[in-house]
Amino acid sequence: MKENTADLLSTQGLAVSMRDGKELIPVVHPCDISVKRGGCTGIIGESGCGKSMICRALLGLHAPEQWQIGGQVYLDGEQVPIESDDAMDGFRGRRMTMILQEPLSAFDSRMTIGAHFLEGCRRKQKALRRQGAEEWLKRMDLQDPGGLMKRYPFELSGGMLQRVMIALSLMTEPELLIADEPTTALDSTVQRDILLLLAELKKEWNLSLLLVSHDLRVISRMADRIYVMYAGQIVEWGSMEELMENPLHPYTKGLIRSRPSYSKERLTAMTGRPPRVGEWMGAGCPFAPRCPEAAGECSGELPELKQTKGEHFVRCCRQWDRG
Amino acid sequence: MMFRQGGQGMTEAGEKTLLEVRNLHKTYGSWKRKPVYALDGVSFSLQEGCCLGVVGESGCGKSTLCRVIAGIERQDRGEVLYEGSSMDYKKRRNSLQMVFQNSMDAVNIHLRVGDIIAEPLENFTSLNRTQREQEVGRLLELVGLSVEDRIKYPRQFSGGQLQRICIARALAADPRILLLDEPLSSLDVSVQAQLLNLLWDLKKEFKLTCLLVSHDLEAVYYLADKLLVMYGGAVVEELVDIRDFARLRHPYTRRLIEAGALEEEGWEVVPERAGILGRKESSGGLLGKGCVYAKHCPRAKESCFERRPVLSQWEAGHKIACHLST
Repeated sequence: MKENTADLLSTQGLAVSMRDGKELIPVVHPCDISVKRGGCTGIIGESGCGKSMICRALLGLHAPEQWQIGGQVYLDGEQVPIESDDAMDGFRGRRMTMILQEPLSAFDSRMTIGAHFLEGCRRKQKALRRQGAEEWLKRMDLQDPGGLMKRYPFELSGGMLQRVMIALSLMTEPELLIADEPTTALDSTVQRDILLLLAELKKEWNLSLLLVSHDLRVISRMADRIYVMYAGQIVEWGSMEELMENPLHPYTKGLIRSRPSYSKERLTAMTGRPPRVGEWMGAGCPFAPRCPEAAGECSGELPELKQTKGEHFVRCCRQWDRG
Repeated sequence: MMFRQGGQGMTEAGEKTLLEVRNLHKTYGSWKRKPVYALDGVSFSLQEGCCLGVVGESGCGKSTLCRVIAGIERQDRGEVLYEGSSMDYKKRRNSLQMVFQNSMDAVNIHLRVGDIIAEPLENFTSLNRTQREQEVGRLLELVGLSVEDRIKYPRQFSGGQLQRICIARALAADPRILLLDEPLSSLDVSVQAQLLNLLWDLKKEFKLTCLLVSHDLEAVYYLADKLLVMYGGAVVEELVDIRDFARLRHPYTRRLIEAGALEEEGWEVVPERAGILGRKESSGGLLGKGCVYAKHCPRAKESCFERRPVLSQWEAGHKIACHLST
């Protein structure tokens, strides 16, 4: 099934629910996200809003005993068999790869960096593999790749490990790289280096990126399309320029205002906290209790994700007419 | 305004120096391993009612600084002076309180929140049980929680709420100085904003003297009056008035600022790549020769590797340790 060839990745009603006995607790409500070919899509939200769940679901990493995944995922117009572990072999780690938040826990501490590379590509000859790995490490601006291959993960700093992880995930030359909070655990200077590296790679190889972060600055710098998530739902999405200049959902506005930006003026912080998984039972807008603009209509039923103009959709009943 | 002898910077007339740190050294490691110089001659002074922000990346010794001041670690050399005299931790425990980064590890999870906050009251005050309970209620409301929360356990709170409880506990002892060791990292952006505002209000209301350690320059700018930039265990730049932010000029500080301002220009131009191998060695200073930042400095000259720059006056209220700026 070929459709919408401008997008490399698209999902239709992708939903994740947690099994709790016989009950199903929705973690991610059906959502449609897409990544442009050679573009970068950003997903932003607070912890527990389901952004990492989407990443895991895209790669079919959820254990079926505990999770129920719904909806379809299309990569390059081809349906990705996210339910079947065997069939995912052709996609996972080959056409779609992922880098994780905590670099140290993503590596096996008993294996050298070299062993990680050799494990990743079993089919090629050993010498070739080693050479390839060293080349990749060099491309990541890491010095002395030969020596690096013999070292263990704990000997490297977080920034270096994150680079090694990017090298590992790019070795199979994937079409899509999923980066789940790639810079959160790193220092701001290292964060900048890693983002620059990703931006360069994206440009050089026309790599498509799905970037997940809770930091609006990271997302707004990298992404061309932004999805804002709250309580397992997409509350607003649109192109980067449109969303940053003209944010409509009160939550998006709150997020933008929450960051201090070299000023001594009092911040306008959002009150309260996001609902935990399973807390919000589907009546009304999940953001309504914290929303400064909430009115009676907000507690009625869940607003739909409606288009305001161009590529800008918002799930807020008070904003539809304003866009 | 006056200048004081001994390189302790400026103090405004009428403002009492509450805490003074002189030439603090701290080394970690044993005889077997190469020692790590976590603190390498750090000196500063903290005036009453002033908030000092300490920024730097992980491994630069900012947490060690906090812990040495709080008396959790002992310095190898140097002094911590409290109101001009050497710190006596037995007597002074209640005048210094600390808020830690990971709030879940900082509280006893088997105690109720009320008991957690009442502990300093038990130790340092002569309040009776009912008075203590009242005080706990007041403190909880002060940090934006409700009185009913005192019977709950730490597990029932989110990270941001728990950090509020830690702040309440620190305030319970009625401290003169509050040490905040990365109070905001590991929290969500919106929760960070809430806590920043809480600290801002507390600072205004009680004229709190605090030491804010963070890697987030923007958050530090929001709260602090004075800025200290650390790298490799040493202070590389000091600014008495943080509003003179634009004057910061140490190559490392510039890099830190650029890293924070992601959306600004200069993104497309790939800057000098700091040598990525050897980053690990940069945690903790290197002994002896040369500038701590020389290895990663894009503008380093030969002299930078040979002589250690001294933190010296660049202009009024601004000190810098860099050969290129003198």
